[in-house]
Amino acid sequence: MFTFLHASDIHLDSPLKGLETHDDAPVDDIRGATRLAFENMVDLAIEEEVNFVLIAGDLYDGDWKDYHTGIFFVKQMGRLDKAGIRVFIVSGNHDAASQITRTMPLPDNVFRFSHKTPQSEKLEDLNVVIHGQSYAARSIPDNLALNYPPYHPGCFNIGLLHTSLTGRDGHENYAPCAIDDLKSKGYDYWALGHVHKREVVSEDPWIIFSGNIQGRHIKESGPKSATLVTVEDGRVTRVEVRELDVLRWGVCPVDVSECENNDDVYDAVRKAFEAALDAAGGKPVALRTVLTGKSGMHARLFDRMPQWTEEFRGIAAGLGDIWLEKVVFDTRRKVSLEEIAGRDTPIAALLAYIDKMELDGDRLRELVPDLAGLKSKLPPEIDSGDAPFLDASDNFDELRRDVKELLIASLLRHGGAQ
Amino acid sequence: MRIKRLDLKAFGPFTNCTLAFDTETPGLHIIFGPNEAGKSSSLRALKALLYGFPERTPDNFLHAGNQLLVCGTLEGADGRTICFQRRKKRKGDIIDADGNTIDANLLAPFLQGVESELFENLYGIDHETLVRGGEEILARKGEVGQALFAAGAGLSSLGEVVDALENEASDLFKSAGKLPRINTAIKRYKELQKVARDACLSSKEWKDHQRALALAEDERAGLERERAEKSRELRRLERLERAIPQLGALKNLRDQQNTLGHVVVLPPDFSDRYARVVQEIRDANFQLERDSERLKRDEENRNAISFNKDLLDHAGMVDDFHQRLGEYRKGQKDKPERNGMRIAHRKEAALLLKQVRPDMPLEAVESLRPALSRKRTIQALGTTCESIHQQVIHARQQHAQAAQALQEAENRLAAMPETVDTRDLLQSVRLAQKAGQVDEQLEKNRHAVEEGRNDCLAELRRLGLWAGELADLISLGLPLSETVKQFEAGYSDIADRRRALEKDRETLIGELKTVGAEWKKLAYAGEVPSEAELIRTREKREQGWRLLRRQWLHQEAVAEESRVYDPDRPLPDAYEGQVGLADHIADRLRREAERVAADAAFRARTELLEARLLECDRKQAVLDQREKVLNGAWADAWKPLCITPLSPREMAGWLSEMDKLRYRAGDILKKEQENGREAMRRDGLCQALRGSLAVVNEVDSPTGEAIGPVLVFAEAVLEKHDRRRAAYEYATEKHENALSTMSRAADYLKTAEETLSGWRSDWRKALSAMGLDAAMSPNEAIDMMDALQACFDQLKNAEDLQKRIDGIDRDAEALVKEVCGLAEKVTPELGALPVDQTILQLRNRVGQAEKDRTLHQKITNEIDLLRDEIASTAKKLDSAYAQLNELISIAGCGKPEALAETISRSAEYERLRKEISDTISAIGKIGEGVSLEALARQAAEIEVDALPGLIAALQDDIDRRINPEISRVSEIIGNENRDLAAMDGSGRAAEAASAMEQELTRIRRLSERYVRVRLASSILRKEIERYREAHQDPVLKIASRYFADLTLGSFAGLRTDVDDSGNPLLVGIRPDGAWISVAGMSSGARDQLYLSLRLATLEWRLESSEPMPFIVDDILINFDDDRSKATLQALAELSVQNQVILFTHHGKVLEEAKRIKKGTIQIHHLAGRKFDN
Repeated sequence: MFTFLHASDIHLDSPLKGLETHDDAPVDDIRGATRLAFENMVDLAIEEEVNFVLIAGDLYDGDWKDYHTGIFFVKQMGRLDKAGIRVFIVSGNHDAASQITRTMPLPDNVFRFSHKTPQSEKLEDLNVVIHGQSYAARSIPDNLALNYPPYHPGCFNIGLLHTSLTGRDGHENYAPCAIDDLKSKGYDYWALGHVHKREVVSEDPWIIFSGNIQGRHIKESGPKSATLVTVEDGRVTRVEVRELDVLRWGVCPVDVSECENNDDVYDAVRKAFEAALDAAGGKPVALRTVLTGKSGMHARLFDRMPQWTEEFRGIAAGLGDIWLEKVVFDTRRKVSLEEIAGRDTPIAALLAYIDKMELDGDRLRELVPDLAGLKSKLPPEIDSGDAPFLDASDNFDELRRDVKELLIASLLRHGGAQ
Repeated sequence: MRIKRLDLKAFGPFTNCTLAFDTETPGLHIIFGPNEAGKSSSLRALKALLYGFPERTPDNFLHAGNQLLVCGTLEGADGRTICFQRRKKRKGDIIDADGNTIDANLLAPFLQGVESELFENLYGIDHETLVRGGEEILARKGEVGQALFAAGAGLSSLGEVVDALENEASDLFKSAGKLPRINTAIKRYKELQKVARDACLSSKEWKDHQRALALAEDERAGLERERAEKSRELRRLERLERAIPQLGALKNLRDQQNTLGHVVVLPPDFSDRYARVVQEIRDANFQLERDSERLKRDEENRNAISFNKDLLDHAGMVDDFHQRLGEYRKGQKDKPERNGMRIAHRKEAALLLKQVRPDMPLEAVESLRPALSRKRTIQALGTTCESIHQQVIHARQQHAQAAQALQEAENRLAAMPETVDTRDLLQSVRLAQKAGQVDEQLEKNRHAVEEGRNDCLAELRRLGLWAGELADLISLGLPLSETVKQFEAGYSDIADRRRALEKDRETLIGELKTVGAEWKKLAYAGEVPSEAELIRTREKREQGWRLLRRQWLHQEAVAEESRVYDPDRPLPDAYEGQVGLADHIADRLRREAERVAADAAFRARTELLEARLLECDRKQAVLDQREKVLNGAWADAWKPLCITPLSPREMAGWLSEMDKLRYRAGDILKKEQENGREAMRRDGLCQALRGSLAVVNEVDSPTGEAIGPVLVFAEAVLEKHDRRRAAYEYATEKHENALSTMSRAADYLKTAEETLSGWRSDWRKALSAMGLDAAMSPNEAIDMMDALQACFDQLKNAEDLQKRIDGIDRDAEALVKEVCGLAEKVTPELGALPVDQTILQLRNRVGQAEKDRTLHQKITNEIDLLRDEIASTAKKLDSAYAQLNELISIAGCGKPEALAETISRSAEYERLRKEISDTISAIGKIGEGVSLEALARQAAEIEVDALPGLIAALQDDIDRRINPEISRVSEIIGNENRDLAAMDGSGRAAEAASAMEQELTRIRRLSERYVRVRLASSILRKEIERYREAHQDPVLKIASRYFADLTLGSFAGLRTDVDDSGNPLLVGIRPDGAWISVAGMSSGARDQLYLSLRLATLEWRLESSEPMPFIVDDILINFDDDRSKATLQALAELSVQNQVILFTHHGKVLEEAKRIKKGTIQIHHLAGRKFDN
């Protein structure tokens, strides 16, 4: 019997995105989250006394240049070496782009597969053969799996591959291949990387994306783990999910339709937070709170969004271990804006005007002349990532809605007959 | 819409208070109430009616929150009305008069889709709004757009909204600012960027350090190698420098050794041993001399000492005397005192005896001592006296009571009726009870049997074939079912065979038909020639030939035969014809061989089939015969029953039914027998009961065969007798108890009396022994005993004292005798002294003798020691001389005098040898492993004088060049190592990157907010301007009119002007045409300007929308009387189309209202009174 650990997409030192620091945030708990998660992985391998560890690519984050990251990795590998644990790596698209990959010498217990040709590495003591090929460049459009060596009869064969398989949402289509391509190789286990969400593609043979070990933004929510595999008599007898993340990302919907006053809203939010904390099993959580429902509190919520956000932060701080990623005000009025505005009133006309207005980049620049000034001052990184700043059309619809709510809230609050 | 009625059923201070707005036109309704009258409450009630209660209400002080209730009637423009109630509830708060929930949508047409907040803005105005509106106009310098928009939307402070948006935007971002939040965040982001950059370690840097370290380490290794080489050389030279003098010395020593010649080498300790022996001889001689002298002196001293040995032998006795001397002296002193005390005790004893026995002299008192031993007896008797007397009294009482109880019990028992023995009856009853409900069971069983029998008979009839009684049925000899089965199998076999035969026959016939048809088909195609025909034709031909031959060759007449042969043709023709025919047939047979074969086959087949049909018929006949035999056997099987059987299968069914019936019949008969037995058992039980009853003289038992009544009767009798016996037993038990109590009481009395008499005899005996009167009471007797005891005690004391005096005398006498005896023996010189002095003298002399003896012993010991020592010293001396002789023999010198010279030569030789060895060892140490020979060789090779120079040069090179160089390189290595150690995989850069992300998130959030706020502000401005363009002319025209009215003509109207930037501004027009800016107006005029704009908007809206009630809350506070009146008038005019509800607490307003002639004005007092105008 032997065991091994399959992990992938470590993205060491890749920063967590979308979290805004504030006084009560559990900053210390999650400082260097990807490192902590990686340390957790090493701890797990040592505790479980696994025979070897597989890393299916993207150990580093592509454009991250700090050599300290590589040194950190080597130190962690040193811990595994002390415990007599070997490590097998294929580099992924991010690693191919990383300078660290190219320059960092690997410790003796770590083996990285060549990027020139597929290789087979035999572990005589365990009667295991691991086949793998690293990425030569950041983009690999070819089907790497096709050229993987034939399986070694009488051995336990493992394929280590960084691939998007038949294509996965949110992931570049690299080293694409069909599931049948993999199955046809006759290997016993395919340790895949690249896709950040864990997925058991097949159980015969086992084809698994173990997913990344630490979520880095709200789109990578839910538990993050490595896969612990037990092999007995040349057959996989157990496949276990072992959570490694130190911060859990999650969307926390709060239905405020039944809320009639501030306290009701606080209660609802608190309950939702508590539930999210429970679900994370004691880990710190980064929550996107989404307030929903047709609520009598809608106007009060929209009128004082920054203050509400602060209040929710306070609740989160009270509970501890919660980082409020964002508060999305997605409630609706019990009565529509149009009804509130009435007929033939200036406010109705104002709403009609906003609705009719063709809002696009040009129009926005015309209405907000400072925008160019603002954009010129903003760091260019604001447009990096998945959601560039003020660029997509749905942003404009959201903008239109927010502006309407903002104006209505301001105007009706400043009404006369009180 | 207008409000027709408002019922404050339970609200604020109101309970069932009604405001009826029942004017024809919408009308101006003035709701009047002084302060605290509930004016604000009723205004809130109106809002609550239309839009529901707020979450928190101040109007629940009288009525609880869930009790609050307002009711109202609304009328739409189309004349429809709705009447409903509103309570404070989150859901279902609108109800009809009966309390049923009303759908809120039913209200919608009346409210015109105007929501609560907007309603308050558009259709409500109070004093505060009015003043703020006026101030706002001033603040905005009468900017037309904002004034119109604010009035149109019912806003009093639009400017604040616009400003708030602007301010928020400026707080967020300014292009040139540093403090706004976005600017700060960007700055911080850049700082973090720098931190991250600084903390970031490039791989080149790391590699450079690694390379530098490797270079430095190589260099240091080279230097260290060189230093090691040079140090080695340096050490070699230094070694030589140190070794050369030692090498010289070694040579000298060896030379000296050679000059000594032959030397006896003595053992290393020889010299010491020699010295020790000489010393020992000297010491022993000296010791001998000294000890002899001391011996002589000690012997003289001892002879001078003498002591009294006899006395010393009795020293123990003397000590004993001395101790007894104290005792002796004390005895002599105590004796007279004790004698006095003895006499006193005897006197006391005589007095006490006199109390008891005045007649008795003291000397005879001993005769009473035995009596004293009975003291305990007398005390014991005295203690029991009282209790024994009590016991006797108590026993007598108990005896009397028991006698009485016994008498009573006997009387009761005598009065009891006699009991009879019911055991037999009880037995019978129990047996009957155990049998259970026999009567019912018997009846039930009988009934069941009867029913079963009837059913059985009916079933039997239904089955038919056989009739008879059930008993016959059971014994009926039915054939066995196996027999029937056999028959059935037989019939079935026959039927099967018949069916098979029939099938065969059908097949055969069918086949025959088919073959026939085929054959016919063959025949229809032409006659088929046959072998038989050929043979027949050939026969005919042969026959013809024979005729022809007979005619031709034998000339026989064959005419007759020829005619027979062929009547129609002449013979030759006929023959020829037959030859032709035969050939023809033969030809055809050959030609049509297939048809012929087919024909033959058909024929053969037909013949075969027909044979098989015949076989079938035969089998059929066999079967018919078998069936007939079977039928006979079947009928025979049933003959004993005299029935004609049906088919075996039917009979099998019948038989099984019959079996079932027989089983049931058997059951029924068995049950019937059981019933008979049960009835007999009952009769037996019943008889037994009656018999038992007769035994106890109860003969009136119920008659009939049923046992139940008899049993009940018997049970009643049993119960009666049981009760009687229980009472008798109870009385008997009581009697027995009384008897036993009586006997116990008698025993008790007897015992008590015996005890008393025993006590009396003892008492008498006890007293008589003392010579006392037996009639004396126990207490008196005890007193006498005590006195006697005291008398004996005194006598005892006197006796003890006498014994002591006698003892003293005895001791004194013994002492004197012993002392005198000793003194005469050991110290006759003392003579006759008193005993105490003799003892003291003896003691002194013993002390002196002991001292002398001790000294004598000490000297003796010393003498012994000295003698031992002298002997031992002599032995030592002998041993020393023996050793000296041995040494001389070792040295081989023959005589003691030569010993010293021999020892000295040997020692010199030893010294040289040691020095040589030391020198060699020193050279060895200096050589540090290099051999002596190698050193000598190296020393010979080197020039001694150049050595120090060489050493200094080498040392200098190492110290001044190599070592500093190594230090320098080591420092480089240290620095590089430190730098590399600092590259520890720290997460500082990553943390800074995280912080950057966090800052970026903040920037993004703030920027998004900024864009929204700016956009909102921009849009609002545009819309204000647009609204102005659209509404300026019509609304200003109406407002102008209102303004002139409200200011009582102080202003003729309103119009627009433009400021320096071209923005349109509101100005007032004086009747003389002068333009007055808003700044130039009084504050009251500005309030009226705002009111004019509000009223104008309202009126303008009437053009397009349905009217809604206009709620005016005390706006006339600061208006003077004339302007108040003008305002009321304006409102009254408006109220022709649009309901106006005015709340006020000014009585003056009411007075003024009454004077207004326009419109319809209704005044409501909050108490509910109203005054129509």
